[in-house]
Amino acid sequence: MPDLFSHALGGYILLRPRWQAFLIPSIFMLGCIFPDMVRGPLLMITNLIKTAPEYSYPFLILHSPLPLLVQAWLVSWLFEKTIRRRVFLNLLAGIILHLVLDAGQKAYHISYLWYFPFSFENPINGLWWADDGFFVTAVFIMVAGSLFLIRRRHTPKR
Amino acid sequence: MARLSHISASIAILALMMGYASIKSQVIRMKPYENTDPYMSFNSKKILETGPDYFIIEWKDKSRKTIQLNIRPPFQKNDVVGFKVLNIKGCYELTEYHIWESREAWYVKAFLSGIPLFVVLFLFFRDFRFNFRRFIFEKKRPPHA
Repeated sequence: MPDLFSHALGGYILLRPRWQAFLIPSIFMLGCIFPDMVRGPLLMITNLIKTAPEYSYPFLILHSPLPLLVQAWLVSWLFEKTIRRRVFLNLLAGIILHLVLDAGQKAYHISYLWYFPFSFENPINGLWWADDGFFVTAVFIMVAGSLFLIRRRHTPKR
Repeated sequence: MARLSHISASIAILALMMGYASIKSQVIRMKPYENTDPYMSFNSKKILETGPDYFIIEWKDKSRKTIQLNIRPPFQKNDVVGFKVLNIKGCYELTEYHIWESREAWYVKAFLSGIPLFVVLFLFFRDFRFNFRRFIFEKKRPPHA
């Protein structure tokens, strides 16, 4: 997968200061890493205790689109009513960006179970293998770094 | 009450989905072994043995399967490889392959991923606090608001 650096920086690159009227940057950035934040530790534990791969599938599906939609719904109800809808939409936007980046990851089968629970077929072949992601991370770091410097230069001083 | 209903319903739906995935785990696991003609592919398989024109992997019933190639395999015993082969009259042509990095390298990456995780969580808790009594995230008031 693109690592959390790429996911987080991808979210930062897409953030526009003028969108702050309807965007909650911290929630959007949380959405950008949310799928791996939930699934990652669970998979790491199953890997460490060396269980058979099939025992990790219940956790693997937490990264699929439909379960992620349900998780975004769940998380939004942990917020106050006045901002709940915005939280849901911001979280979902970050999650969608995360999934778009993960769609670039190469897999012949299973992958992120994109159609779960309706199908276990993998419709997306991807472009790069998960551990080839260094160049992706490097590109994101360079772009995000440049953007940070540009935005800082154009931010009016107080 | 509405909050409790929504939270309970979403947790229940997630639990059902996870249960369904558990029930269907064997079906999911068998996916790579279906439709293996003419193309056969695996995301990651440990190479049990290699020879001058073949390599051996574990098959679905824990048996060993020999993949006969027309070239020397470009990987070695104990490599974990993602590959795609095309069956041409009983002999396979290796069309794609990828040798996975070591498990240790993956753990290092996972550890380094803690940095962006920390930054994002810091930004989040700069804006919100969790009220344990109400079980809800409250937006922090900005200073001098």
